[in-house]
Amino acid sequence: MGKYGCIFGKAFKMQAVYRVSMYLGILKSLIAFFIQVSLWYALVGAGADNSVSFSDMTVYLVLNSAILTLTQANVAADIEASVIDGSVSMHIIRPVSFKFYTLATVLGQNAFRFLTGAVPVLLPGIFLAWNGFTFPSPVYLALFLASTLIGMLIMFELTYVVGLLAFWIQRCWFLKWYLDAGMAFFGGTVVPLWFYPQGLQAVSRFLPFRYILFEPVNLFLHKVSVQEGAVSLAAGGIWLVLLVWLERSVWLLALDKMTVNGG
Amino acid sequence: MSFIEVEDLCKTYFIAQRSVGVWGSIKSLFRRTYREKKAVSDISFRVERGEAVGYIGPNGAGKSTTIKMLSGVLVPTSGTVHVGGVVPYKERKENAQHIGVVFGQRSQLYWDLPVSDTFELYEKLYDIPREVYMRNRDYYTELFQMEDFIDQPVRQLSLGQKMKANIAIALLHDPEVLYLDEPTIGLDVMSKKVLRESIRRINQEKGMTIILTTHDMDDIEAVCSRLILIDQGRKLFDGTLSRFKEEHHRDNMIKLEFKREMPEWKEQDGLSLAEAADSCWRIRVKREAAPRDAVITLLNLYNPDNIYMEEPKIEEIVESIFVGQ
Repeated sequence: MGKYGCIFGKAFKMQAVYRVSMYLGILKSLIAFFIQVSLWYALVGAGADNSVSFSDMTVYLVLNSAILTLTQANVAADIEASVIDGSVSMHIIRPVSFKFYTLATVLGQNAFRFLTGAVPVLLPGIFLAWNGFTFPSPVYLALFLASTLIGMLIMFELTYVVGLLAFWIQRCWFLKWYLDAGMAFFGGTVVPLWFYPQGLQAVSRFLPFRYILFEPVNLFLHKVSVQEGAVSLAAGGIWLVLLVWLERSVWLLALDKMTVNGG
Repeated sequence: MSFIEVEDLCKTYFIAQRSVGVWGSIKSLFRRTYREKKAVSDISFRVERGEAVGYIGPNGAGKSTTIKMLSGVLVPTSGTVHVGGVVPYKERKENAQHIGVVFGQRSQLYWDLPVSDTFELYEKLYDIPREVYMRNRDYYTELFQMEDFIDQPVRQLSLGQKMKANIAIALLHDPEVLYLDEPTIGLDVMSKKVLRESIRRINQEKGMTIILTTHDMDDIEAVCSRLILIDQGRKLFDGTLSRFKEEHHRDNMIKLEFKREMPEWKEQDGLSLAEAADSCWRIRVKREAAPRDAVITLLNLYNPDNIYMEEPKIEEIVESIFVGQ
């Protein structure tokens, strides 16, 4: 196990320290899932659009909560806190890359959230979606997995770049709010983009958000052709490259600019 | 070439000027003026391998800023730093492998996990060979008397225990130099004693170079043989502890204790009454006068029940330097 594996493991272990909060978290995920399922059961039943079935919607909700737990990274708040109290210096005196340290920590935390937030809804989800559900073909499954991985990394890079801004503006938690809003509106985490008007759908193609969660789900459900899937995978990849480039430039500037607060 | 070489080191911060009052703070939202503050100004020094150097000065003198440039956290505004041939801020990771850093006001430990978890993390972070790790873990656990709490979550530990653990993990990878930035801050007398003793042993047994900043002069006396004194970013003194005491040797103090009624003080050449309390006098002996003669004179004149010599503490010397400026 390498150093980042160890960081991953410790981050996971730390989440597991508080047992009551873990049980309450599981309960919260189940309640949230059943509220959403009931809501969409009513909406899909009442709607005139027949292209989306209740089974599709349930799969969407399960994957939604799964990928959300995997991409839930409040890196910005963590970096902000460590810049404000100066503890960021502790990371710089260790022989690790700050970025990969942060990534390993986030993945460790998210792996735990996945277990407590997504796995519990899997069973009721499968039960509810059983009628009318077909498992994706190998090609689609491969595309789904690749785009999920890219989506996770896009989300990490987005929050990481925003977090690095703390070196200049100190307080940046509110920028995370913009990211969350972008995710909810253009990423289709609240209402899937299937139900969006053409105009908004077009706008969403030029933003990174839909490639994080919506496109992977589309592939899982065979809602797009393989070509379309490949295009969105490539678009996600381009976003990722852009963000990595941006993040590197910002980081180099940040190191130069860094002052360490407090004693 | 010395192990640590610092040449003409400068660090300047820009501090936003706050205006007074509500209107001022609204104005500063649109236009802000900055003031330059030189935290470190043209400091040069060399440290050889195996030295234990005390780096002292009042709050805001630039001690921590210097340590942060030595450890590679901050980029100097001008001047150069070399530690073991490496420029710390340029080769952060390479530098990190060879140094141990403890900032007294920060913890490197996982708050919710036992100390032993952070130990394991450091084994991986620094790629410490298994046998080195095991040897050092046992050595430092014993040295810092950590057997009782190594498996307790950090949040349940006392400040002194956390500090011991922080210093121990900074040493697991056998660094060549240890930077300690106020390691005894806020600790009780016993913990301070264990820490000083341990740091001194590490310096002597392992030959590790140590740079120690502190406000507590007893730390310096217990650990260091050399002292660098700075104030307002400038170096005021650099030399051995004994030379420091000699050069800045102030007056000696003699304390007389009376168990009977106090006699009447008579002025003498070279002696002056500094303090008269209930049953004792503190008498200042001018640095030119021989303490031995002063003692004999005082004994003959007043016949006290007890007589004590007080050696000047570095703390008082430092204080008198700053007051004299």
